[in-house]
Amino acid sequence: MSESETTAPSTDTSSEELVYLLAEFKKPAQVLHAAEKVRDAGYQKWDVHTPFPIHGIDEAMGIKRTIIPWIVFGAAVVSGLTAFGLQYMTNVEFYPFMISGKPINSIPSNMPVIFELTVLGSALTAFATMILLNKLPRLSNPLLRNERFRRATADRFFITIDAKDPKFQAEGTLEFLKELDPSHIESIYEDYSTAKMPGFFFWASLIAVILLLIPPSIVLYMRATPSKTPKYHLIFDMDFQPKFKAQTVSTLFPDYRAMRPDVPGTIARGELELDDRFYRGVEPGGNNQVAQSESASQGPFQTVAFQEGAESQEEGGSESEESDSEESTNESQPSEDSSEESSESGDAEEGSSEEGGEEQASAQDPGQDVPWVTSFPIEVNEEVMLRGQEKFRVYCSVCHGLDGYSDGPVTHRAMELEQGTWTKPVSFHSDHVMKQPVGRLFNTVTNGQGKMPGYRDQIPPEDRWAIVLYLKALQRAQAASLEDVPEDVRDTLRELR
Amino acid sequence: MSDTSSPLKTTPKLEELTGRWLLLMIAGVVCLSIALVLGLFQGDSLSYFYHSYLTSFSFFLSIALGALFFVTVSHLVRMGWGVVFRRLSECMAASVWIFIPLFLVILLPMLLPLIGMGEMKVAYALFPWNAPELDDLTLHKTPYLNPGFFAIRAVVYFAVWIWLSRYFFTKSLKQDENGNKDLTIQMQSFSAPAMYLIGLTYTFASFDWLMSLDPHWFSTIFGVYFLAGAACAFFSAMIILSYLLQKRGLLKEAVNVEHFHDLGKLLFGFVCFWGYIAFSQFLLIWYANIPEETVWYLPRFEGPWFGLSFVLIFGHFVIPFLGLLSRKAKRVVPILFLWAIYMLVMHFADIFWLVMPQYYHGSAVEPAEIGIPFGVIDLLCILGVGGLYMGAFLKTVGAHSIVAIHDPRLDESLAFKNT
Repeated sequence: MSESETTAPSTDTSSEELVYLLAEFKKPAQVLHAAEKVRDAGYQKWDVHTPFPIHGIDEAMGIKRTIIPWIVFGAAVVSGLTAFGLQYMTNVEFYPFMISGKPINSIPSNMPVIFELTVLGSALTAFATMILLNKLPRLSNPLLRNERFRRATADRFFITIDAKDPKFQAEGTLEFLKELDPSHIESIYEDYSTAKMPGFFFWASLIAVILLLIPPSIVLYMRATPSKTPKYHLIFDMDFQPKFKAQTVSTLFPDYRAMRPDVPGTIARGELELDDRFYRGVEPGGNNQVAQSESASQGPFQTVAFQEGAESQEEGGSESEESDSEESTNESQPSEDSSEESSESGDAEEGSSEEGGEEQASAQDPGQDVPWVTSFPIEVNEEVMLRGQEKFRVYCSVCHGLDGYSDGPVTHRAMELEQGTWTKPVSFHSDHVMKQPVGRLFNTVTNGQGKMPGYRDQIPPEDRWAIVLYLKALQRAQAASLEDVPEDVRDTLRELR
Repeated sequence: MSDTSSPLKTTPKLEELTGRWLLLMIAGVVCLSIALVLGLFQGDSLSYFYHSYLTSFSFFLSIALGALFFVTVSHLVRMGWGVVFRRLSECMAASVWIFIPLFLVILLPMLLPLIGMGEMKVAYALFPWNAPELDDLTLHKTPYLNPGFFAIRAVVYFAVWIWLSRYFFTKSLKQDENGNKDLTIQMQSFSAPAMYLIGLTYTFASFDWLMSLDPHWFSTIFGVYFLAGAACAFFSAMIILSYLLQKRGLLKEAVNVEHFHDLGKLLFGFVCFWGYIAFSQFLLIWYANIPEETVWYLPRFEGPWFGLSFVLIFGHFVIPFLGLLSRKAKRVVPILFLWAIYMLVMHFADIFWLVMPQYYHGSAVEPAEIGIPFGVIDLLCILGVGGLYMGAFLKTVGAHSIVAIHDPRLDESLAFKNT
């Protein structure tokens, strides 16, 4: 049978349902020409199958431009807004942390995520809509059972007209297709073979799924079990270096500490801190008393965490017997003292602290006898105060809150968790803190207090003083009355109320 | 292998226009002279004139360099679709010679310190690192930033640019005559090393001529930023030129809407690229917040420059991004033409923003008092340098065909269709 011969659809399969009429062409130009005629005849459900893209076929088939660009544009806008919203909600609403002095809602740092999510969202949308609009995935089509149609991927060009097309008539459409001068015409009938999944496919899938579960279960097992053997390194990066890491053990020294403390009796270059007022917040000579008060309030932690305090304590001990005895009485108190302190802070918050109770507490307050400085050893002006504000917001506000009422996000979260290990920081506006001289506040910022760690190593002394200055300004502002406000802005304040 | 038949029926030429090159050049020189005289009356040792002049100089130079970049890339990727634009790009790139005399205007007074006259303020009217007394930081940069080495580098840049642009231009012209396809192969092999030279010279030229206006500041991405802007400028200029030539009835056989569509796509692409690079530069500096880096953005956040910064964000990226996104904007040529003019204006604003704040920076003028920092001198400088560059372009085109008529890929370019 020659290729050009047109075979009429066989009639003995009339019991089967006709789905397509298939016309075969040998040249791209022929199929392009034929497609124009099918388009002009007004058919709706038909298609052209070619081994490669043909220029102008969209126009010849009367295909409208795809709407994918609009969908992708919409997806891009939605993704971009989602990315922004995600960052806005986490950074501004849920966890407003001040990070390196940047505004809480800082658009520039949001841009990379917005950019990436916009690209991701639009790319995935383009891919998914392309698949869906092409009505894919379609696992079976009666066309695919046709031997002749297989050449659509090699060297033949086909037009199929769907039997569901409103213009379709069994005889008329066949005649119409014959006029297009195809090299072959064939009827494609519905595929009645079973739609059931082959048995081996089920078992193969099952085995594949089981095999796929192995790697994640190994990972889970590894994560849940402790192991003494070092992890397997594919890429070493810089994981193994001939150096000691912080807080590790070294056999080089008798005390097995890799981190070396200062040699007793020496001061490192540039660390000669002679000015007691500036570096420790006490009047000259009051240093030993700080050490004692520290050792009392810190209790058993002091030898590890507060090296300096421990050393100066020893000195004080050797110098005078009297101070030694005083020390021992102080040292016997810590547990009692801390309970007192916490009860006192509770009182202060309730605002019902009585005179007597307060006096009692202050009598046992170890910081009481220290000659704290009461004036600032730095220049006091607005610029320093604003610097203090910035530093306060970076370091302190996460626990103490922006206004000092102990309502920072960390405190909030810790209170929600109800673990019992968290001590709520004392409000700056409680009487207990209001009374403290600036030197004592500076000492607290430097060395910490109770659960609060010292910020000696993070914040230079000038900035610690600036923070204390801001703290005093904060206390003053919270206790302010209308008379403190300049005349000219009082009216605006009244209006605001 | 030779083939002297061209797919084009007629050879398009610019003959009646190219005769006017001398007129344009004279007009350019006149404009610049007036600007210079007006600059003298400013009483700031020509500092304003030089800043304004450098703005226009960099603006038109970036078009020429963008063209050289395009020609080289087109060979590197064996471009088919855009062969119809190649000759015009070659001419735009080969006109780079006009910038040598233009650069001498900047360079000559800078050489005064070499003959012991460094005290004259005109020697450092533009580049503060050429002043007789420097601060410590600038002093440490003098092994690189000194008038002698500066001049040597400028010679190298111009030598490379003229060599590369003449290479592609002459080979392409030769192919017009004999249709030898081997010439295309030669240019292809040459384009890869040429790309290295382009990358290095563009980077260092922009460091020298634009970034060193503030010798304290540095940004390693600056060269890429300049290239991104230059590519935007070139594609805009190419769209404008092709459209105007078509209006005069030229180039009609060779260029059609499909070609404009692709130029529009590339313009769109480089608009995005510019936005990406500009933001990358800003984000790192903003986030690190180190004074030696933020020092450059600080004056641009004050006075009229703050407004101009926002004009750039929206005008140079957001608006053209949305405007050129649509297929229609790129295929309806008059609309694309308007976008190209718009982008060229924006590119000028970009260069203006790079250069002009440095004039006011450190001067006694408060940012709030600057007002609208654009005047007659700026306009005359644009007209002057523009006239000279366009004159040089017409002179370079001369009697040559404005399409590479025997390029082996011209067929492909003519039949090009966007699917």
